Amino acid sequence: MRQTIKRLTLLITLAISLAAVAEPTPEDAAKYRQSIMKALSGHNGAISMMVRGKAGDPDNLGNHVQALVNLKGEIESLFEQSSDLEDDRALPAIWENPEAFADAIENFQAAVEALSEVANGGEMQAIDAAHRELGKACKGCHEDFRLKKQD
Amino acid sequence: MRSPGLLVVTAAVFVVAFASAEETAVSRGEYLVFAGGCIDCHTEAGKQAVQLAGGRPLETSFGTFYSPNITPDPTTGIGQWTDENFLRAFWEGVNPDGDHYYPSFPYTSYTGVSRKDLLAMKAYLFSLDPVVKQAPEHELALFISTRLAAGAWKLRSFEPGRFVPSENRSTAWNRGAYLVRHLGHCGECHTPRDSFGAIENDRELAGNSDMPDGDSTPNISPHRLDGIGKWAVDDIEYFLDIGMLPDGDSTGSVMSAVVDNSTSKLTKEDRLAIATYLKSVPAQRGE
Repeated sequence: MRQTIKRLTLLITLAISLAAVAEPTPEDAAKYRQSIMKALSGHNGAISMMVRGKAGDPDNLGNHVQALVNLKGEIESLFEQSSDLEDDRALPAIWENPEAFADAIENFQAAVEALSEVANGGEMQAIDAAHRELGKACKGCHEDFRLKKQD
Repeated sequence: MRSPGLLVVTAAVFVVAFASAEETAVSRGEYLVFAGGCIDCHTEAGKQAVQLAGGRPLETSFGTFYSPNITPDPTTGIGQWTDENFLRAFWEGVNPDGDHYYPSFPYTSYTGVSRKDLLAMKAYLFSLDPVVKQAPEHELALFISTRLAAGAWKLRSFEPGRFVPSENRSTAWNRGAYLVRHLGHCGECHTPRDSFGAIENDRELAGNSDMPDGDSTPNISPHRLDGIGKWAVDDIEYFLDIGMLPDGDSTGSVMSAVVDNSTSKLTKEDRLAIATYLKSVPAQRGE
């Protein structure tokens, strides 16, 4: 009997947590999305310091590029759910114009790939150029699909 | 009989030299049109819009302005303009009929641009395909709906004059000052305006919270907390090239279009010059 209750509790807990993962609240979905975006911008900022020789050990460059590579596949899933929260800057255009949005994501993913290819070569000038292209891809998507605010 | 061959050769050399000078002016002009930010205001929104054919609305607290067509169409564009017409428009804010422009055309900044640069810009604009497209009439508040009002405004708020480089400053600083204050007319959006809409020069680049279309612009003076004082010169260059902020985020503001159509098309040297100048102006609080 004790064993059965234990098992049942486990099952219910599991079901609840699975449900939570499958269907986050709009608020949580937005928070998660913003966390991933912050992670991307953090690595991006670190790479920009390294390619300009301002700070950071260039030996670590590959780690940050790899982080972008690892994160890039997750982008589509971040936008499965829209929200009308005031502080969520994801614009309705994302869901109204899914093809253009998919193109913008593809641009970003291709730019990360291109950066990752030259990053292995260690040639700073090429890395700088590829990184600038990545920046343009980020900006291109934000321009159409993120609510504008003052910088 | 002198050799006609020599004459032909001379003429050919002359034509080639002329053509290449013309080409240089056109390509220099294209660069300057980018630096002058002309495309943003003179092109309608949307990917199909023809560049520089005008018609873009600018909603301000004085009413809605529509940018004119600046392709060389003789009736709806600037195809009949002489060099003098072109220079007077930029230097004095007057159209070929002698009427005053509204300061929605930033002649207040362009007045500092050199003759050589303006004529190169004209050469480039005249090399474009003419587009037949009439811009709508401005829809303005009654009290400024005549060009006389524009003239009165000008008397109060406009000081004509070319840019004079400062001998005490570096070449980069002077180039940056020319680009920021005049050709790039950054202050038209980034410097606050008084109740008459005149730029407050003693608050240079302190930001403007009352922009057209309900927008606002940030303080880009070197104040560490309110402005961009924490940005290094090459942070600014990076931003003007790719729109990336120093924290790795990328801009999604209206500045994004300025980066696309203007600053990203400049040489790195010019972007660094802009940054050098921006770092040198007095730090401003607020906005």
